[in-house]
Amino acid sequence: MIALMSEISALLAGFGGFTALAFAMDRHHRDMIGALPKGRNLLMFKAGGWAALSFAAVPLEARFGLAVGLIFWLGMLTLGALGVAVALTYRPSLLPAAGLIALPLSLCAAALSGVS
Amino acid sequence: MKEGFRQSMAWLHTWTGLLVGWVLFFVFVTGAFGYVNSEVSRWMRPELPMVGAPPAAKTLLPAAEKWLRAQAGDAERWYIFLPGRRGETQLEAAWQAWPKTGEDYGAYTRATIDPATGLEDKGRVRETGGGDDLYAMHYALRYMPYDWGIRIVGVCAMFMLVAILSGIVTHKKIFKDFFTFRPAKGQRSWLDAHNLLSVTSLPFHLMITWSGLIFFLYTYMPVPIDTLYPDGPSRDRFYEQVYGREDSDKDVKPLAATAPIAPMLAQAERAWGAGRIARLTVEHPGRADARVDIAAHTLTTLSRSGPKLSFDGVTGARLPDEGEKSTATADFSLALLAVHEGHFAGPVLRALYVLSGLGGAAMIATGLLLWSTKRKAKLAKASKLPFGILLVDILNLGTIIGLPIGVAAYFWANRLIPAMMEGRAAWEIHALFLTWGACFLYAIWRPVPKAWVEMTGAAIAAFALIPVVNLLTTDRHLGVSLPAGDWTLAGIDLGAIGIALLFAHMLGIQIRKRRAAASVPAIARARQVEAVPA
Repeated sequence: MIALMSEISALLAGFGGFTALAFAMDRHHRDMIGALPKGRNLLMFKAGGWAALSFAAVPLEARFGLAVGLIFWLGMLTLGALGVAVALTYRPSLLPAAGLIALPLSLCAAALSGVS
Repeated sequence: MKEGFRQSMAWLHTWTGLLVGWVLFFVFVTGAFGYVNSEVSRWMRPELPMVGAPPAAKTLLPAAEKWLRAQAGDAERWYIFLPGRRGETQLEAAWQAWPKTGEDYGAYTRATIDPATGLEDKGRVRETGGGDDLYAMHYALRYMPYDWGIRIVGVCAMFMLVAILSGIVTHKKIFKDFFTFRPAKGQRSWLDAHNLLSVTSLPFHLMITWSGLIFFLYTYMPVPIDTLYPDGPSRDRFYEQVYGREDSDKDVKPLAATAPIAPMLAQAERAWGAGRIARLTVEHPGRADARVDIAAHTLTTLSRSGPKLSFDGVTGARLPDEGEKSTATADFSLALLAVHEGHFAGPVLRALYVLSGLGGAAMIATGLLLWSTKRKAKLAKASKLPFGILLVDILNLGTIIGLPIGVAAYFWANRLIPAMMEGRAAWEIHALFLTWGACFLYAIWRPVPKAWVEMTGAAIAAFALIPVVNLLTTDRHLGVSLPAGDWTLAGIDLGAIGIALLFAHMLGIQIRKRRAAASVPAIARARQVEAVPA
């Protein structure tokens, strides 16, 4: 088990998940892409975002147990959400790519942390 | 009522928030430092050893026992605190005297013990309130009776809960514009920052406020328990029924030699591993009903103390683990208190707790600033601001910038007041409040916009120079702590630099804003010139 990998995995999943949720919101979609969302594929991003946020709890629960893991999860989600907010403010066009990369990296970190 | 629900909530949010905002800012700032109380206390006693593998528990035990025997052979309770937890390197011991007639609790005395001699480390380690004094201020304030302090904080916390809940209704856009932050847009930026800090940490804010109220539940809401359990004995029965807490026996039993503690310590180390023992408690030492409890410092769950082994103090035999006797209600409230205190948090989660606390302070600060920005925008053309707005401006500046400067002064005072001065711990705290008071006077004396820039500059210097003062006065500075890998010590110095950078960022915003404001007439003039040929 490599130190801090559970925390890093949760942070990346939180960041990626919130990016997907932001992508599914009119205002933030426009911030990233420059246009309002077309079509109905937003539901997919919403579901994916929530799934990623839920997944963020997994490595923390595995490492710290149910109760402390839950507290940790909320803290890491706060950090992930603030990360998305900062990115949306200063580098919105890079955010979709960053969010997309964060998710597989989160899985890698989870694997390194010993969750399988 | 003509107003809609949302307007009435907005009114409630605005005025509850303003009324108690300054006290709450103080509570959140000092409370955030409470999460690193051990770390601050260690930094504030530079005479203590650097981090390293702490000596084995069994070599420390005799020194602590020797001191306790010499101080208080006959006490209600002894405590021995072993090093190794959260970067602590010192051996500490404490004892609680038998209560005198008319007292509920006997006096509690705690000291740092020199492991080599078994004597108190007085005269070598400076006296300081450390992080614990900052922590205690966040729920009991300072310079007033404890009962007043907790009641004032309690009333403010109830207002906070009202402000959070009404705030969710008022700023309903927080969920639609979840991540929105538009910098350099004046009032809009403050509103965005306020919303962003609130919504991203909403679970923390709700938890910390609500659980904070639970701490003094029976003080804040005394009527039910006063009615149902009116006198002392029935009150004891209540605690026994709900918390499974047995009324501790105040009868003094006959003398009986206490069994050697070292074998019990060895048994506990076999159970948890060496270096995992946080605390030994000896109930009624030297009496026939003596009991020794040994607690581990690894907390894996939402509790306020680690796993525990108990021994009969006379025979030395292991006592069976006490089953959980508390009710589900008590377990729930104790878990809430545990979440508030975060004793179980490792370094990363602890850092998140500190950041959440400071984020809460920032949320309150942005809310306070928003109140006056909004009103000033409406009065842009008025030549003189009404007294109410001036007052809020001064209170905002004096608190939002003044209190942090005061906290920095506390750290300065710890290094600059002579290490062996009598009563220095009290003067460290006086330094905090005198500096804070001076900041208020400055905010009253100077025009507020100018004072903002100047005091933010002072805050940068106050925090950035903490590592420098540390370098000049001790051998526990970054040049030593970083190579030694002593992250507890280094963390405080680096944290001070981090806070200085934060204030530097704020100063940058203010300077850009002032420049922009100053250049508006210039642009207007330039436009006029362009307009002439056309």
